[in-house]
Amino acid sequence: MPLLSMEHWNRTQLNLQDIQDIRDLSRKNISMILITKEANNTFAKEAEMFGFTLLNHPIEASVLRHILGER
Amino acid sequence: MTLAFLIILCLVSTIMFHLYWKGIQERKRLTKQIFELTKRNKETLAQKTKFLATASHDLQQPHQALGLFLASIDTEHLDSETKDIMTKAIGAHTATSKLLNQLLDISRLDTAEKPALQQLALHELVYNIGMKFMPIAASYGVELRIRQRESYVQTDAIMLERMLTNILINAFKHTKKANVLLSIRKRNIHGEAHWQIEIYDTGIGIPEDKQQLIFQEFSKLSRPSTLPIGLGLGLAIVKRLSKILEHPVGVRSRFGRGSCFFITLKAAPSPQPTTQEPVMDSVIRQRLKVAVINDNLMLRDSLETLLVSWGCQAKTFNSSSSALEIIHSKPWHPDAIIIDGTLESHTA
Repeated sequence: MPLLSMEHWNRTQLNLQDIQDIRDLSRKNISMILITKEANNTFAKEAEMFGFTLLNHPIEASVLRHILGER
Repeated sequence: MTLAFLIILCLVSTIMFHLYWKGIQERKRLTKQIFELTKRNKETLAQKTKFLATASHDLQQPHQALGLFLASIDTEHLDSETKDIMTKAIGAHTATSKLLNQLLDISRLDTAEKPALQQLALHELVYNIGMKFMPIAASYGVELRIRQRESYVQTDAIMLERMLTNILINAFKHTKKANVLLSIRKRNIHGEAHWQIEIYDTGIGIPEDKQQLIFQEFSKLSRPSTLPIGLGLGLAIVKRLSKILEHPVGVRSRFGRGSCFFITLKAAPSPQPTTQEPVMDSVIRQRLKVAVINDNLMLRDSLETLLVSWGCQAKTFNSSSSALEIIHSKPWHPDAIIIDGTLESHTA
C-alpha cells in the first residue's frame, strides 16, 4: 500500500481505518468513489493509489452512472 | 288580397336579401382590414426586433470596451473617494452588461432558429442543474432541494436549461432565507403522459391578478429595494423559449406564501437498451447497494434520490464511522461507497 499523507486524510470526515473496515466487511470488489474538486493534487493522487475512483465536483450524473456501471 | 300578400312578401324578401348582401360586404371589408392591420403589425414587430438586435449588438461593443478600460485602471493608487467612485462605476457596468445580454437574448429568440430536439434523460438534466445551483442558492441564503425520478423527454437541452436557470434565479431573488424545491412529477393531460418540472419557493408570492403579467417583457412587480436591478426580462425569455419548445409554462402562487412555476413536457418512451450503452444498463440491472458518506445534508439527499432513480439501494451517512456502525450492526454490505473529499481538496 502506498504511503498516504495521513494529515490530509485525518482532517476530513474520512477515517481511513473505517473505510478499510467497511471494505473488509463488504464484498472484496467494493467500489470506492471520492468526490473531489481537483484531480491533480496530492490528496486526489493518493486517494487514487489507495483504490478510489475520482469523481469531479460538481457531480455530473452521467459520469457517476458510468463509474457505477463499470464496476 | 292574395296579390297584395305576394307583393308584401316580395318586398320583405328584397329588403332581407339587401340586408344580407350588405352584411356580407361589410364582413369582407372588415376581414380585409384585419388582414392588413395584422400584416402591418407583423412588419412593425419585425422592424422592432431588428432594431433591438442591432441596437443591443452595437451597444455591446463600446460597452465591452468600457469594461476593459475600467478594468485597466489601477485602483490601488487612488485616494479613497475616487476608489469608491470606481467601485460603483464597475458595479454599474456589470449590471448593465447583464441587462444588455438579456436584451440580446430576447432579440435572438424573436428570430430563433428551430430548436435542436433530442431525446434526453430529464432526471439527469434536472439533477445536474440542481447541483450546479446549490452554491448559488446558498449565496442567496436559500436551501435548494432536488426531487426527481427517471423520466425521458424530447427537448433542446440548452434551451430547457436556460428556462430552468431563469426560473431558479427568479425564485432565489424572491426567497430570502427560505426553501426552493426543484422536482419532476408525472402528469396525465388529456390521456397523454407528461412530465412536469416544478420549482416551488416559499417566497413572497405573486398576487392573482399579476400572475400572467410576470411573463411579459419589462414586467416587474413591486419588490423590496434590496433586490438587484433588472429589466424584468428573465421570465419573458422563459415564455418565449416555452413557445419555441412547445413546453407550456405556468405559475401557481399564493401572495405572501410562495409560488410554484411549472414547465410541462410530453413524456418520451424510455430508451431501448442498445449495445452502445452497456454501462447504463448494468447500473439498473445490478441494483447496486451504494453507501453515500457526506456531511452535507443537501448533497446526501440529492445523491440518494439520484441513485434510487437508477434502481440502486442507497443508504446515506454523515461520517464514515456512522456507516461502519450500521454495517456492523446490520449485515448491509455496499457494492460502492461514495465519499466527499472536497473539503480537503487542495493543491500540493
